[in-house]
Amino acid sequence: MRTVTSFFGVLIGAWIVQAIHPTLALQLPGPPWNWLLTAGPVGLAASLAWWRSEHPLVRGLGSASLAIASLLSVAATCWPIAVFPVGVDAPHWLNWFGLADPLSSLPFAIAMAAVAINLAVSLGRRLRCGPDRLRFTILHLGLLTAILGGAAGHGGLIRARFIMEEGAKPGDAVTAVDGRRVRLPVALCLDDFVLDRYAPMLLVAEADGSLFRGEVLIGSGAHDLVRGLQIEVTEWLPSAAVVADRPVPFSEPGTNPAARVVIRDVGGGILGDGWLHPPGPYGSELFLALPGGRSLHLDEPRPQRYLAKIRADGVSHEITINHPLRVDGWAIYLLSYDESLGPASRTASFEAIEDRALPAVYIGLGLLILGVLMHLWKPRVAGDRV
Amino acid sequence: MSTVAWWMEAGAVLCWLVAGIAAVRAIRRPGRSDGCYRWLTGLGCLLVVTLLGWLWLALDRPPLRTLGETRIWYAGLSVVAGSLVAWRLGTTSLRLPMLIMGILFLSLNLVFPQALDKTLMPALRSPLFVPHVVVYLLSYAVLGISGGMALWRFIRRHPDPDLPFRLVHAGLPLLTLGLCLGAIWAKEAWGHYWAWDPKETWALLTWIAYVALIHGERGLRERPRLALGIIAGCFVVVLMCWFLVNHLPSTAVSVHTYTRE
Repeated sequence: MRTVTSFFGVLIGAWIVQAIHPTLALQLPGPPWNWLLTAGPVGLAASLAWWRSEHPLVRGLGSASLAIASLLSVAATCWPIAVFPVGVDAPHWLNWFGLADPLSSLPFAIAMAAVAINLAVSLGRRLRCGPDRLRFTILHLGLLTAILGGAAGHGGLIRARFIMEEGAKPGDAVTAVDGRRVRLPVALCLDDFVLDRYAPMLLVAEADGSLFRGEVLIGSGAHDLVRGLQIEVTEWLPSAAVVADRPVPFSEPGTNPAARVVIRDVGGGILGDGWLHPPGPYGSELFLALPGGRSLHLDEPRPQRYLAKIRADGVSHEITINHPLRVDGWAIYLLSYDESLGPASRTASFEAIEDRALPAVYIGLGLLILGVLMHLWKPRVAGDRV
Repeated sequence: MSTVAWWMEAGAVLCWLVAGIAAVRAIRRPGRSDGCYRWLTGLGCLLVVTLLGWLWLALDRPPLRTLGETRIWYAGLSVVAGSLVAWRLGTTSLRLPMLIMGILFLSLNLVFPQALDKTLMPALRSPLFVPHVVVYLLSYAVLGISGGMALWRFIRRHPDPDLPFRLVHAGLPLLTLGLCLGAIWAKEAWGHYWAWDPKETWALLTWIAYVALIHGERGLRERPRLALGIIAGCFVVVLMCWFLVNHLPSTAVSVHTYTRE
């Protein structure tokens, strides 16, 4: 219990220091110091626990009470991120509690360090005692490895966001988020950006401003029932521009479709008839005003899939949102495109990330999953110690 | 499409309501056959499974995109997982909590019906989408029964936290599995296995709540009413993570905004 009391004393002290100096921010250094600062104390703690497993300090540092206290402290220091848009529009009073930037704060660092030390000591003691309750040992080892990999990796992480335009010259120099100029292992250029979209859907706007979407993807001859309105498509232009408030066939990337619809009420009486067209680069919106302040719109088609065809050192690759390009320890992710142009976008934005500690995180996650599966296979029995 | 779904949901709710009445009668008159309960519970589950299968085929995507769709899974998984756990543990105590959870969440869909459409945003086109969400919903279902049962026992002054604790020991590993799968998927999709997104942070807070709970289990078993109160309170954190987060200011910066549809 003395260990927990001491931990809370240190934590409260850190909280007071952070509140007095709200701008105080901690950041792990780059490699190799990030590894020394994270793995060093943890390795020492585990060795100490293995060597003197019954020492009162070791028992205290590896106790369930400290596990609870340190975990709840992590929760108490990071909760503002869960509630407020921290970094964008967080309330000012968070400064008074030293939580304006929770993840770089002293209390958060101390809480995370306590979790890591507790896990390390607990592991050291477990290893000393033999392979009893193996699944818990694996779970603790997995969690510790993932935390260490994440913490150390954060110190050595390189991230660079950049935009490429179709037809631009290949380049390998980008600016990282911390302002450094870094070189990618390959020279990249964007050959083509492709955006596939779903067919549009109908949208009914009520007089009070509430919106109700239809369920059917609109096309030639489509029917839908939205908010009691029976809507039938009588003419369909898959690709149209609007000229003098009339849709005309027009085929260019980025054009939206247009639909002529007949609207009937539940009794079959015609409420309206006319063209619908979503707003876009090739024409303004066409919609139908209905009785009672309602209106019917054709919603902008939603993206179905987008991909960037790029060349890396002359070799062609395709990058989609769940399939990044991996080259020499770097991963290049497709983030977005010029949404105002849609399929006509000739640019795409990417993020290149180098995280040398990623294997440690994956090993940790793998061990966690293994421990979980072992636990599910052989559930814990009452009275079994965690 | 949503009209058919509404009627199937209403059918399942009706089956489970009558099954619940049968379960109460079975408690009051022990020794009577519980065939009515079993048949109606099974029929309700069959309706939900059929609905999910039909939606999967008709929408041409996994019906896991919107909050309403996840509620159908949650209701079905609550009753199916609850029945399996009850069978494994040889208890009838789980019948009412699991049926109440199923009825409650499916009824939300009856009161707030949602439009069903075929669109699926590109980020969700991943082989990890279904396992990540289903494992999470399964853990929420098990933890929901645990929380509901703990609350009921807390109110009824029936201080035995054994069964709620056993359910937490089934739900927490699933929660951990969902968290790991989510981290792996996030790395593939966005480049960061942990980005401190509000939803991710709530997932961490949920996980911390339950890990702290099982680390304190030994002491809490000696104070059963406190244990029941804490187990019920932990499920409130689950609800925050699942959908109440969408009503917090932090949702403005969340990439998990698709759940608001």
